[in-house]
Amino acid sequence: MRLKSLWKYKYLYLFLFPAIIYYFIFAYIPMYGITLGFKEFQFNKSIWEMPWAGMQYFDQFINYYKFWDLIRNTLFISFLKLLFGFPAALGLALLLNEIRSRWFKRMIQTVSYLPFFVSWVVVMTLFSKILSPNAGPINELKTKWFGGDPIFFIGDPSWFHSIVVLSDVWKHVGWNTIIFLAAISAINPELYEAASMDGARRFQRMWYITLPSIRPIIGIMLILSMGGLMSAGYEQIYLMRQPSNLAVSEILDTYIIHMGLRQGYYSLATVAGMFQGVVSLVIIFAANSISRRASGVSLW
Amino acid sequence: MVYKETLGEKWFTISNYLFLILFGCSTVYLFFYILVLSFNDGIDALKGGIYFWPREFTLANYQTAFGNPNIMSAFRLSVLRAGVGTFLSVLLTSMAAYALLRKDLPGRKYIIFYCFFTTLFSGGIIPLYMLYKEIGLINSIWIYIIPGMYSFFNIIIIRTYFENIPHSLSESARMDGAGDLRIFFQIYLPLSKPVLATIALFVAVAHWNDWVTGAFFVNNPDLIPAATLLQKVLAETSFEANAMQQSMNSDLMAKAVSNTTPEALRMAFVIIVTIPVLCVYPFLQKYFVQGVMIGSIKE
Amino acid sequence: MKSWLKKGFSLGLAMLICSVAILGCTNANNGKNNDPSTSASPAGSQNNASGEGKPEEVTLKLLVAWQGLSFLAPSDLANNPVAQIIKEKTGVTLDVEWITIPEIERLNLLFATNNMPDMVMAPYWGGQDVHTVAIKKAAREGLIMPLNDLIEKYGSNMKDAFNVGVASDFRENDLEDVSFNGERYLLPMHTPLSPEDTTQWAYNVFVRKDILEALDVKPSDIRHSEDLYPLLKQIKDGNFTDTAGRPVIPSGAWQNGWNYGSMLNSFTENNFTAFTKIDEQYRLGIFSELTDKRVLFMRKLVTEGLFDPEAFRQNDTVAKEKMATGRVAMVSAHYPHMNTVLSQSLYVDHPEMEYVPVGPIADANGENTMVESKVLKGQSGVPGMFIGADSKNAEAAMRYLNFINSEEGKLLVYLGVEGEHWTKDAAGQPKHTEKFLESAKSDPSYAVNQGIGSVYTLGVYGLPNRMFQAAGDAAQVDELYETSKEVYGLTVVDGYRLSYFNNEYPEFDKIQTLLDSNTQRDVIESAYFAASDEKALQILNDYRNQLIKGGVQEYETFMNEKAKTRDDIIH
Repeated sequence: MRLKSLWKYKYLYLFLFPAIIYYFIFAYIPMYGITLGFKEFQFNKSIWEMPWAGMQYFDQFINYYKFWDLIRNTLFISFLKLLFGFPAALGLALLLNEIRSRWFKRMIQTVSYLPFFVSWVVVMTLFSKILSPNAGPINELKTKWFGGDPIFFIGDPSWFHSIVVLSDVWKHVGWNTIIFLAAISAINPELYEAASMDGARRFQRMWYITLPSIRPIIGIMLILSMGGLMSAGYEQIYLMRQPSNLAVSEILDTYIIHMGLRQGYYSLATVAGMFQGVVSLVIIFAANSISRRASGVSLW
Repeated sequence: MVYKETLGEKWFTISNYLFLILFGCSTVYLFFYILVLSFNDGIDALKGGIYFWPREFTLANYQTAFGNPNIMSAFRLSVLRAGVGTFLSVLLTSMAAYALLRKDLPGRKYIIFYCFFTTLFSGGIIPLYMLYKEIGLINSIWIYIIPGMYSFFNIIIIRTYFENIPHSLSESARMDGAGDLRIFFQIYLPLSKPVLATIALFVAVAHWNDWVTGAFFVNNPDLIPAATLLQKVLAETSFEANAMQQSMNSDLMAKAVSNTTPEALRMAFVIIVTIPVLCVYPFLQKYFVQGVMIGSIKE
Repeated sequence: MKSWLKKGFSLGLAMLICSVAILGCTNANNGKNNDPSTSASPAGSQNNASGEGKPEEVTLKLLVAWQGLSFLAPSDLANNPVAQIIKEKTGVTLDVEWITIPEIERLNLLFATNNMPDMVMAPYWGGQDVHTVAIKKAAREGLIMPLNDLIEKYGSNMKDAFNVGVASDFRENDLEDVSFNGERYLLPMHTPLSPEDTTQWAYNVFVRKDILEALDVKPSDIRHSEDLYPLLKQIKDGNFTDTAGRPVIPSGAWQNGWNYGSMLNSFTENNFTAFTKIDEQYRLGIFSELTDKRVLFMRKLVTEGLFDPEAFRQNDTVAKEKMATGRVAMVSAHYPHMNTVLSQSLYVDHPEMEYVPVGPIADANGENTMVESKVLKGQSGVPGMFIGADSKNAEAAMRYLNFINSEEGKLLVYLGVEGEHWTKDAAGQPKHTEKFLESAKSDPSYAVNQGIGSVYTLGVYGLPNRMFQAAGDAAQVDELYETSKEVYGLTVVDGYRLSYFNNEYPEFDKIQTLLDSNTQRDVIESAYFAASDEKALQILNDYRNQLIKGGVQEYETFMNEKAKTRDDIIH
């Protein structure tokens, strides 16, 4: 009976076949590199042959005196980004959907994703100029209206998160909206017609038709975003690091890249990366189960 | 469908437009500012004060970027990989998405997890490099296409979209004797234009912007894409490169090398990299029109 | 109607880009066509220094594992005049690979995948430097070609490469590492012929001339870091402006905080290692009182608005923008950088805002030394060349290197073809031809495209200063450069650096991450922003405790023991 259902779905398995092979070759085979975290890195030996170093690097990582700071900073930043960025993208999609003029909608849509293509280096340079304590525009206004000394916004730990989140949302919202817009465009307009004939106002239409129709996409995007919580964005944070805000700007990503790349402590960096992966796995499992139970939407 | 808008709704409309205009202005201005700086002499730009128009117009930044003898082959390659890679990727990804639709497919959960797991753990550059070497992808044009074939994220997005397509369509087609193959190509694909256009855009842009593959896995200068080439040009104008030039011990050398600053160059790159996408996107926007599925349901 | 408007717009933009591209391409093509294929070689004489028949033709693969050097590539690698002569004399044509990823990553990839070209040029900074560690590892594991034999047979000019211009402890530990068993693997390049031939960088604290004059302060009035404080206050209160009318920032730095440390010279010892001597014992500098004083002084400057808070991490462009308008009154750097950037920007319209060095600012020992003014006898780290162990063309590679290091070869790769690009004047000194000078003036990449001063200079060692200063632009002495050099002069020191004993400390791996200099820098700089002096010292002490907890005191004891085994220890 089992074989019968396998045959019934033969085309489906055919469709899946290249993907399975692909992941095996390009993802699972190279994955042995992860064992590097438990070995002593040597050149002329393949990773199989390198001598075991046991949990040494893992210990080094866990006992690093800033370990909990790194985790805390990373999670806090990525959580904030999700908290603001996700509704922003969804909200923008909904707002755009309410625009009746087609050319205006398209125009705004197009310009909204422009910052996505501009590298962080350029965006942060711009932000730091606007917020500069050396007669940057914002500080000029501030001293004129409120007096006092200029504030070094980027270097100030209390402003750090606001700037990180604001710049991240602004840079990505247009691009992230595209998915939601695509989903919204699949909604049958007859639903809207029927609803307005029954007297539904604009907000009611949004609440009872638009949102529920794209609930699956919202759910899936949320779950997938959860998996990214252990990484708070290397490039952006690196550019915002200042000696005065290190207490909040040291994150796992900068630690890994710094230790691994710059200093060559590869085994240490590998362990840290693996740690990120394991925690992300746990988070996604949890998010997936909760979502399945609450709304039926889940990855598997 | 004519009805009176309440006062509240009118306010909403107005503020909506206003907000979007403001938002749009901020993003447009960013781009415009970059455009202006890209046409301005780098050294002059250092003095600041340029906001709306180039003060010292120059094409030098673009000339440095395009002056590289490999630039044309690099662009050709980028376009090629964006075209072929996207087509293949979208096709294969949507096929996988379709296959994972039905919850009663034996092993579905495990297959999904199997694919998902790979997004969290990676062995690093060195095992990848050795793998590519074994397979013969190093210095081959296929390095740009094959490793980028699937993305778990894209599979799931397309699948989610597919789930929205009414079951009744495929049911009735099955009753008429159609198998999965026909249902996929004749029903699901045509109805999924918005999501396919979206994923195509994502994949194409990822191909276009990817500079890492060309930097790590290819040594042949005729086989690198535009993004890698531009990265190379940028590296030549960096502070460290300038320091090296100075210590190369030659008077003529110190001043000779670049007539642009890294910043001005970077501005030119952003423009070069973004313009093609801007040109392509309008053609995709028509797929985001509402009601793409109406016609089918009557069927 | 709107859609064709949009399509037209897109098309228009695309055309604009294309036309610029074509313009750019023609420019590049002009570069190629400008070099007529010259009958480059001097008529028939000096054929084959080796005395054999025409040398066998070989293409050598060279990997330049150094980011940003691709400007050294001539547009026609195979047929430029210099390449042609090299081919004639050695049979060698180069096939070069440049990189866009960090050097250490490329090296690791190289070694881990055993994908070695014939020659590799890479950084080799000595000691615990990642590149050095990687290359040594690879050498020990048999991936790099041992050189002694090759040099014996084909590299008579290379024999001195390991002695000329390199510090003795660097040679002892890194070029002739004990584990190499007398073999040598890495050829230093671009080393100076003698310490006086090293570029004197002339690091200084510079201040805008017009501001000094307005305040009636003479540069030599500044003798101690503390003297900078009242000067900065005067600058802040003096309502000085930059070229755009904005108020001046009293002091700042270039990118990434470079090189504000010069201002703190009186609280620094300018040592060669991380160690200092406290009560006759060697201790890590971080534990000394000087560090406290340094931090508190800098904190004062930062909190009183006398030093630009952005300067510590600003990028290159932001820094240059501030300097190009003369916005920063006091800044530290080395002279060539100041000159290169400012002469193209600020000095063009405002020569009165020239920056002059103040000082000399005495160091913590009361001596007039500054960064890079106290140097080792020889380089403590070099760019280097090595040959892949599996290379089939190792002989040819050595012959190539041997040739470019001959008298004839050096003139060729640095000055070009005799007769064409340079001639010998009455005194026998090489001098550029008129034709060369004119071509070089009109096209900045002319020299490189001819092969001059390009990729073929990689591998040459023992360079005199101002390599063959070929008069043409007659020896123009930069007065200000000379003055800047004289502030601290040049002190040459020889000895064995204490830090080399790191290699022998068994637990060094474990404490290395703790002693990481970037981490230390972060700690110190965050102390500048502390809310009070006590809090600043608290930050320092927390860090010190972490080090002690991590076992640093055992390390120090070990180093002190080791120090007793030699009598030429410097620190």
